[in-house]
Amino acid sequence: MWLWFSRLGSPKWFYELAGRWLPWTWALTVLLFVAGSALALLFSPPDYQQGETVRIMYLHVPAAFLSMACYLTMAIASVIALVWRMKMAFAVARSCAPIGAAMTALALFTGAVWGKPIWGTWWEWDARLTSELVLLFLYLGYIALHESISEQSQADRAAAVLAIVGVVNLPIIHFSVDWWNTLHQGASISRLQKPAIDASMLWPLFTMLAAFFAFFAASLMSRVRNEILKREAASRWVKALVKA
Amino acid sequence: MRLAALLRREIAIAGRNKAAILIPLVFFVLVTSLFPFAVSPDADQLALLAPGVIWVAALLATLLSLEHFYQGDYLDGSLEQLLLTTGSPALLALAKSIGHWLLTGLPLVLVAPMLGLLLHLPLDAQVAMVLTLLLGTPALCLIGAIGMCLTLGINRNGILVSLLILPLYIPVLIFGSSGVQAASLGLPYDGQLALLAAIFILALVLAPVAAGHALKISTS
Amino acid sequence: MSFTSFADFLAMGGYAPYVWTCYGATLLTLAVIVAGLRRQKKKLMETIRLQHPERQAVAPGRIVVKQTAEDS
Repeated sequence: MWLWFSRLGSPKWFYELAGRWLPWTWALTVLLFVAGSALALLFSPPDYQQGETVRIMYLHVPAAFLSMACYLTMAIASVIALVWRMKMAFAVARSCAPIGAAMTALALFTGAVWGKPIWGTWWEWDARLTSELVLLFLYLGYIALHESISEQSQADRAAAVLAIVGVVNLPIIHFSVDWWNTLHQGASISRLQKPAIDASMLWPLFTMLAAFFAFFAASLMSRVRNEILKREAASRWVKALVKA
Repeated sequence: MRLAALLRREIAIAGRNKAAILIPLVFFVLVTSLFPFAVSPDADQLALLAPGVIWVAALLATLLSLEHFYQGDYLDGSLEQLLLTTGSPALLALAKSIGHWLLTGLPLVLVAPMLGLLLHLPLDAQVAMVLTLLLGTPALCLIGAIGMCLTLGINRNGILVSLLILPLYIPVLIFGSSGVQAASLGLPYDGQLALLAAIFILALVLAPVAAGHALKISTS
Repeated sequence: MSFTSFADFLAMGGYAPYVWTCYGATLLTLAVIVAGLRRQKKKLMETIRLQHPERQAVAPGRIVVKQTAEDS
């Protein structure tokens, strides 16, 4: 166990292992996306209320789910990095940020496009959408802070503190927005609530969720490999690798 | 009592620059008094807007005043000295937050009723506004300290601090202004006060730890 | 299969602009992330290569190490 843990902390070991896994992970991603899109677009029934717009759900829900899972990964990696002073965990945390920010933006965009036909408006100050917007700001803040500090280890540690502060605040923000939303929009709540999902829609949703997570795994590994190259640029093995 | 000594030093040094203490206050009044020009001088409309306007202005004034309490100490190296001599970064961050609140937060709370009058806020709502600000502004100072301490080494960090901290201010803003709104409609607002108190206590316990850690990182 | 014809499939029950915009946006987002990763890797490789020029053997057995950014 400890051997494994200390190995995980070794950039060279991770770089090589991820390099071996990457082709398979990308292949799995493509496969799941093809299967998921077919299920979502062709083989799932239209919703009796939302019609064909329900097909947007198969993108919106996984993107929103991933945007939050990605933030959680970033925060956990930050805790590990700060507590055990593990350089690799800093690289993982930094790599999560751009992917998570992109997923959050995608969740917001698909949410707005989905909202137009069913709620009749592009934007509703709904608790979920608003929390997602705040999440985007948190990601942007993390990236901006990391980019503003020129010294690598200082940037890593400062951004890690911010990620942890953010993850402590997210539930509070979500709760308060939820509370505020029920206060102001009591009438519209019922039309925002989603009914229970039918089994015929669960399979496409699960496949798409798996596809998004496979994409997350693959792009995170690639991104961490880049981060390693950047951080270990002075080391012997990276120099040998670049020359080869 | 180390905290008392740190606090005395904080107030003595930050209080020396009178202009830096007054400017956030003037900013608070100025921003609020822009709204009648922007919206309408109509008393009913202004009363409707007042809770939100005053709360947002107080929040921005707190954010603006942060720099004065940290940047000077950081640049002349006394922050590093203090970290070495006090031994506890969290205690130092707490002292700074309390000093910040006493010199800017508290004056904002005292000036707010005058702005409430300008915006035709009813009397009940005035009381609610003072109470919510009294509980909310210390939380703003404590949370703001984290953002400020994280960005100490960065040139022109003002806009970055806003980006980091404003999302975290949302809960305080929501409960603060909705408490005032409830009071102006004649509704009870003890729920909002309780939630603000909860946020304040949570911030009091956790924020100095995070800010202290950030101080250590920024000065290393 | 929930559509009877290809035209039906494209029309998405009258919601074509919404549904296809979302699928397009997703594809674009994923493509932008992947393109970003590849470009980042290429740029990194190039910078590292520039930072560490080939060590040149001047005479047999004697190696001159050039001053590089890493050493300073």
